[in-house]
Amino acid sequence: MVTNIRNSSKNKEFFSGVSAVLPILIGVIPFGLIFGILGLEAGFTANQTFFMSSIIFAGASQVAFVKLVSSGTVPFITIISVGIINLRHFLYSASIAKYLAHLTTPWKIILAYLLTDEAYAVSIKRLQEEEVNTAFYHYHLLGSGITLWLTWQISTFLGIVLGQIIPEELNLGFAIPLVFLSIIAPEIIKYKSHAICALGAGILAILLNNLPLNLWIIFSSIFGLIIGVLLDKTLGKSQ
Amino acid sequence: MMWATIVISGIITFTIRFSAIYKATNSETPEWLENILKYVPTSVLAVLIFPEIFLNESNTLEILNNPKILAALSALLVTILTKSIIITIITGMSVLWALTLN
Repeated sequence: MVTNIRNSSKNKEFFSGVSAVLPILIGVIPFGLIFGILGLEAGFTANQTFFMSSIIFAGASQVAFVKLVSSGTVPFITIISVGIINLRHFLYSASIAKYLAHLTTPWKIILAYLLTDEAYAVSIKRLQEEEVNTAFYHYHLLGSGITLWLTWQISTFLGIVLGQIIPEELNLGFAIPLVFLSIIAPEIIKYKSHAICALGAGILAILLNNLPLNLWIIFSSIFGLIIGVLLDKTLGKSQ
Repeated sequence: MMWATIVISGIITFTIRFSAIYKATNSETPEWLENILKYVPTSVLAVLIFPEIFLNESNTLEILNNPKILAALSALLVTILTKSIIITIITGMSVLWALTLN
């Protein structure tokens, strides 16, 4: 009986992760297709392009990787650039760590490997929902992570094999920032400190966008955190 | 050489994602850290959102004549009202298409 309840909670979280991530796939699939096309165009073999999606498994940095290599960047700088682009995942990792503390190391390895922007975003949203069972939160992350992983591999493959099958004019990739917007909106509306944090980080991201090595991502993210924390102290409970 | 570059990039990406999770303990997170971490989604996602809306394909700021701004504002309004991701996507993409597709 108890086992059944535990299993049903696991299943519930897993499938809520799967279904939470489905809308984002509208944006992820064209992104994967584009990456597959870009990889071949940049002179990578089909194998290298395909396996990059499972070895690195981080879209923005994979696009940067193929662009850098094709423009003659040395491997060391390419690797550093990928690292800097993905440094924000450290913040994700830290932000959900306490919910995963009770897990075994293999679990942690799998969930860390699956920790993308999209999986993080929907799982953070899940944590804000009332019916969430935080003891089984890792199943939610597993569900969204596996769904995104499969989609990323398949769409990379299709991009390599079929090339451009979705018209670029549709701008389907724009669905991804829309989802992120939807996820941060409730906090932004509710708290001034979150609204100003988002504005500050976002504006700095635009201003710094041409920094070398894509440093703008981590610089602006940290700037946003500083704004948030400072305002949290000054506005405090008054907001 | 290319494979080595790919694999090292993969290892670095994984290590970044694994770092804080690996060290996590069951003890209570200190309040100062909690105060920082609660701004992670807002800050990082805003960093990923803004350039996608306000920069054009050549990475320059585009305020006037930028249909993505109106699309994003409509999506924001709808997401506040409905709290639904799918309706938000439909609204934002519909506005964008209405303004860009002929």
